[in-house]
Amino acid sequence: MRWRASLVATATVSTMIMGALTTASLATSDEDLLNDPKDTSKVLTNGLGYNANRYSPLDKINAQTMKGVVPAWAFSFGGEKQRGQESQALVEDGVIYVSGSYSRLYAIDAKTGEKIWEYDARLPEGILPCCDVVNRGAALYKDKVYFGTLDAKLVALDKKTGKVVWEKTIDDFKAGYSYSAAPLIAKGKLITGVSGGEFGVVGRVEARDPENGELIWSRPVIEGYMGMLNGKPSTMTGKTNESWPGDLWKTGGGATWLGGTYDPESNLVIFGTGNPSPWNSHMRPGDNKWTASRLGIDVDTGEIKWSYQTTPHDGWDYDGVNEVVLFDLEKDGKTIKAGATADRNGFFYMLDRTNGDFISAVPFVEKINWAKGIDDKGRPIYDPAFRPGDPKEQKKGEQVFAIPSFLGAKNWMPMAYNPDTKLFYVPSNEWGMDIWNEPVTYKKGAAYLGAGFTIKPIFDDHIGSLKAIDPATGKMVWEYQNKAPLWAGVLTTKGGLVFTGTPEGYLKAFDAKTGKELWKFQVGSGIVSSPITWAQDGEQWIGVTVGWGGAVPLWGGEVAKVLTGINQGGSFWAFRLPKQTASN
Amino acid sequence: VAVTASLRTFFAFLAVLAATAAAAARPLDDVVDSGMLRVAMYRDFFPFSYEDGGKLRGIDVEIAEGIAKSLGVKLDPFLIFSGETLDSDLRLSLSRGDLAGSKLADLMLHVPHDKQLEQRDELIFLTAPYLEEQLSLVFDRAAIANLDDPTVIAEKGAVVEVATGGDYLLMMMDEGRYRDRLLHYPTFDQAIGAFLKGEAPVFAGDRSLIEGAIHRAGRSPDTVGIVSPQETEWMPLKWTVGGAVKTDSRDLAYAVNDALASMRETGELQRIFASYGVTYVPPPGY
Repeated sequence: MRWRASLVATATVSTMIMGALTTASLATSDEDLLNDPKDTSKVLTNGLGYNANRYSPLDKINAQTMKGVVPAWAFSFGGEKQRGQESQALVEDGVIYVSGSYSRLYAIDAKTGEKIWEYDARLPEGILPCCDVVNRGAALYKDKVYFGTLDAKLVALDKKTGKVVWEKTIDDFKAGYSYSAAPLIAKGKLITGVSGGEFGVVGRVEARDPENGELIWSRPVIEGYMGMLNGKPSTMTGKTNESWPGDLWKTGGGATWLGGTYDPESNLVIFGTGNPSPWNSHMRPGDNKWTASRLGIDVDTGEIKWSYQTTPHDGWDYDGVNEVVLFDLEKDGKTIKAGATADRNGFFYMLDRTNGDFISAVPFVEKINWAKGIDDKGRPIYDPAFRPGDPKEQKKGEQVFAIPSFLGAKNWMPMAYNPDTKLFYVPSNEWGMDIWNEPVTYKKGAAYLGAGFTIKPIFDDHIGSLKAIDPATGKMVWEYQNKAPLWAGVLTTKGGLVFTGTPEGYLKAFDAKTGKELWKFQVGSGIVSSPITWAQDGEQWIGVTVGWGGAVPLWGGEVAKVLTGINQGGSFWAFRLPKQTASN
Repeated sequence: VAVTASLRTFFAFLAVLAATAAAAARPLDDVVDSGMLRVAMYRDFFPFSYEDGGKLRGIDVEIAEGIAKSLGVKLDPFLIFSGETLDSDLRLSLSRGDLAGSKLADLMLHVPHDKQLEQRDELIFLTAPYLEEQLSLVFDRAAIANLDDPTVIAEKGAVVEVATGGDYLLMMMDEGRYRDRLLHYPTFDQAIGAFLKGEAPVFAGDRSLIEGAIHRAGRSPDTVGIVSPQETEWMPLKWTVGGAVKTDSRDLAYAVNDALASMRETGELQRIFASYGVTYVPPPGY
């Protein structure tokens, strides 16, 4: 009897452990991912949901309780590798998954801040990335966590152990390819773009089997390239030479370096594409499709279902990769399935996300001069006086002051949409650039024709500007001005709050309706990442990755003056509103 | 006894002197003490620095070996990928390092000798130049008789390596009339390979790279013609190439200059260039 009883007891215990493992840390399902915006105990996707609204229905932290928020713990990424922490963390079953600069990934106990495991990618000797050493985050699916590395590899790790399950090369880092975006899991596929600022890099979007990393489809974004589906050529992107001269499309650019969003209703993944190559637009007459564009791509086949180009024939490096945020636009009594995107070029666009039709565009920074506006069909009305000159025609020393600068009215940092206030919160920068043709530039020991830039602020007292924009009217509702350029993503909540970070090292909270600053906390280094929020043990938590870097400090000039003295870092900070405070 | 004491004092004095000198001039002494000269050179850069059957070869590699030999140390090559501009290569090689945390180089070779560059990057000090390079066009004599009139390119086409001087020259020259006839390749090896296969009878690029590739392909120099375009106002067609060190390693740069001068005087430089089929064109004034 005793023997038998003991056996039963043992069996029960082991079943409980098995059960705990299965539900607690092994399976992120498609349902879980679709439900991410609603399940506040988790943050499973980049953007806090496929719609990339960066909105949480949590409201325990609000204007009344904000002052009671306290730091819970801080986790250091360690080592000497600091600089540029742009990762948005994910939270699942009490574990935080967050990536760090130099292609590192950490699993951290969400309650205690203790490290569970760490993965450091081994980077090859002699590698130099184009634009700092950032990583923007991971993706979760079933029992694995995925992220990409600076040498253009995609790695799948076991969630529990941090051990590599598979590793695939996206492309040759020696040819200038890299990877920094958060991968996207959509309809059971692992979807990625490519990063890389070098010449000859051509943008594409690819879908893989998350189980083994095998390629399912590949869609190059430049006209003339052939797509691939299930190992066979599928269809050509556009038509060869329709908007490119000669064979320049072969090295046409259009890097898809920021990742994308997913619209389950229309079965599309929506990606932005980067600037065309070569840099000087006078060498490539034509629209240069599909650079500086947004593409709606069928998630099953990789076919381009719609496309919209924000900067045709780009001559300013308006690298239009910016995210498309999905929302329902209520306008003139109608509800439109819309997508909003705030482009590097300074215009805030509204598109029909089901077919890519242009709805409207308004400037979201001051004094834009490269275009006088966007016409009814969605095409920019260029001002030729502000297009960088043809090196042959231009007199020596002649330069153009174009607004915004090539770092963009809005760079990589994602905006947020709050369905309660029906406002977008757009992190932007007010700056322009002097551009001139530089006769003294060298590449691999040889002279070539380059361009010189100097970025200059537009206003004396601020560059950064967080703007609340009403998508129905295009009007700015409120603005927060920051001395240094803003480079962090935005979070908004049902609690009526908007969160973002500053290079000066403050995590800040604003009233979503009025823009009144309600709270700030100094984290010890600049913030250039996207904050998150989640519920844990009946409390609301806020988390943010910390560490100054990204593309801004790589450029000197007048902008550098407002950045002196900002120290580097590498950490994740967790804050919480203790229960007692919340109930007071 | 008195003599010994005085000698002792003298030796002590010498030792102090040596210590002072070491403190003031560390980089050269560090290199000599370590027995290694770490030299950054471009990877896959024929005929200057490239791997051939697992062995590192090339004009720059042999120059680096010559410099190391004259310093009495061994060569520790650091092969780098070229970035978008020289400035990022200098940062990688000499000041900031690479992502893998590799050791910085003492010297980088194949750096265009441009005083404006030195002013722009205050961390960098240039050695003497060892080569004059020139943007050139090579044509296949079997396909065209001469290149006196470049409009033949509009008819027959030309090959270029993307985003190089040769590319920009032909893209912009004569109001862009050759644009539609250019074949762009991402690397020099692919581009010159396409020219050698006859995809187009003209290639535009750096003279020494062209000469080296013709030599490697076993083609007789008589089967091709090399011409250099006239001066343009909008892009440089000629420049000199040397080395660079960190600005606090000037004594190392001076030692490198001495080594280069000696290799030039003994004919070693000419011999190295000739063995790769490349004409040695000394920088003006050297």
